[in-house]
Amino acid sequence: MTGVLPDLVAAAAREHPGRTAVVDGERVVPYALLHAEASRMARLLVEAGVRPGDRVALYLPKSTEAVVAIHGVLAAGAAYVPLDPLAPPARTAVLLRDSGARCVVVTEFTASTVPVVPPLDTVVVCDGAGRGTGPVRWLGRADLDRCEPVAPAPRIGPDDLAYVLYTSGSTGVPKGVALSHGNALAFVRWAARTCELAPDDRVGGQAPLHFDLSVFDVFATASAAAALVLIPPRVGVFPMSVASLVERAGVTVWYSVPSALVMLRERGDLARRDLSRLRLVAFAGEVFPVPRLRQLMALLPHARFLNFYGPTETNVCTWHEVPHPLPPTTTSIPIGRAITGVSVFAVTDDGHLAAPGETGELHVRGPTVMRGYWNDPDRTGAALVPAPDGGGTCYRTGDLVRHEGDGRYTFLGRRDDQVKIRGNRVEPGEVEVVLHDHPAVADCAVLAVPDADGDLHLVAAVAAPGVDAAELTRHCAERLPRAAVPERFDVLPELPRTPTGKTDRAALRDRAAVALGTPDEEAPGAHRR
Amino acid sequence: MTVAQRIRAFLATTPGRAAALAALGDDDSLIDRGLLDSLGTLELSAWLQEEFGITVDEIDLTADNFESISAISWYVERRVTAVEDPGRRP
Repeated sequence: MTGVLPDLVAAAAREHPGRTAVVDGERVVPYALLHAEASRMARLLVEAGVRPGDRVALYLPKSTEAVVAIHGVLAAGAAYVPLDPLAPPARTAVLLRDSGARCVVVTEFTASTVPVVPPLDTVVVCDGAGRGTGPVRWLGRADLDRCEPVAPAPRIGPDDLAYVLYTSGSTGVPKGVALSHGNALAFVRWAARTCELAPDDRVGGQAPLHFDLSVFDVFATASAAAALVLIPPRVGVFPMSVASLVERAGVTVWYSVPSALVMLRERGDLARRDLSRLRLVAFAGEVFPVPRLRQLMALLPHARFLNFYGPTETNVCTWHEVPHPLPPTTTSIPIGRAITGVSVFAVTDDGHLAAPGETGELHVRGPTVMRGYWNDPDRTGAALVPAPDGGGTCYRTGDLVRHEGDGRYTFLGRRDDQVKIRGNRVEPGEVEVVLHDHPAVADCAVLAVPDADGDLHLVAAVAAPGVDAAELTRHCAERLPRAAVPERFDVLPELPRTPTGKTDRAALRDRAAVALGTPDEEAPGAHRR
Repeated sequence: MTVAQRIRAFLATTPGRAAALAALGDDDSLIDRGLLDSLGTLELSAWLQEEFGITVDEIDLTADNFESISAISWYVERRVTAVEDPGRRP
């Protein structure tokens, strides 16, 4: 695979300068302007000392400014590190330090909360004023405006680092998934073809930039010179407003986690809207419960539905086109078969390739697979392993799948404790590490327990004398991303034990299931009674 | 307590939010500070219905009515009037 990500906007600006690149509320940005603004950003970064291979952090909500910053960082030859501006600053500081970013792009609004930690020496306030001199330079809009809107020509190639996405790590230390231009483009070019993206398309996606679904929104859209319809936070919070935006903006392609689609269907009054332009719905990140998918498909009889699968480490690596209408006998949606250029295989516990009907751990090899974890050769070595067929290295996903034959797979569950909470990857082990940091916590266990609808809730059972749930929530909320903060704390004098002295997780699950009103047949420990 | 104070007190019952709320003015955006998400709007609207005896329709759950504590109180006051005088809709 040749080429680098900055080629996409450059080509779109050359071939379709007047086409809309970004729709952000009332603002409409054509490709010529996006390219010019990204080029100014790139020039300013280069002037500030940013060099190919450097990491530039982004600390701003998904907005026109953020899209400009992404393309600007890449045009400077650097890699972008998107951070969640709503995450606790203590956690953001950990990620910033780990990334080694010397430069961060913020807005005036996020400038007040950005942690300025070494080796950071430059802050670009992309919509506001800079601030004199000091050990840290604060550059502003005026500095951008004096830069020429002409992209620099950094020497970068497909194997160079393009972005680092941080994800939960079970030992309590987040992992930075390092992806190259080639990794991204292998997925982006496949996705644009498979979704038949064209300049007339208007692509809506709700994923924040630190979540890998946004790679589709930002780059597949640009590769087709299509328009990216942003969903500003003051719209995104309200399902009725999101549905109204999808209708009014004429969104043709939607990509999100299933939970966002379920919320739109339940609360967005889709039945009464004209969604005839919405021709394709893609979803990824978690299992779409079939009854809910059926309800959504019934409202969009003309649309294609695609299930994309892939951990952040592999971009999207398999896909399945959901038959429409869905046969009445369907009970689960397969993750399907490998995308073009990628190979996937399931490895059984005894190390053989799973035959049709057998279960194994999914392994992925090919151009979309990450370079490794940033700054972490140990975990990289554990994740990128020699392929069982002797052909190079592949990524061990930790996902258990059933080989359905014909190169198709169905996701069954995890090898480890990792769970998805509203599409966000959460390692209960990381939450336990954080809880153990609290001086009063003697013991704890973090579990994901389904409610009556099958939605998972994170529940922490904690032995902590004299501490209440509010204090424990505060402790976690200051250190973890929101999805990883337990929704419920069960504070006990001590945790129940099995006869062998281990924490009795089954008993804790039962307690949590009762508290959540989980019906007996859903309760994981129900079979024991 | 005023309507705004009662709303503020309810929002502060979500653990882990008290500090951020204390620094927030009544007119500041709850959304930009991440203090209200789509699940939060559901909990808030359930509480408003219970606490003030009003009906909150899904269609009213928009940034215009829910962006800030001031906006929510203004919305509640209009709805309370509507309940007292069913001939009027805010």
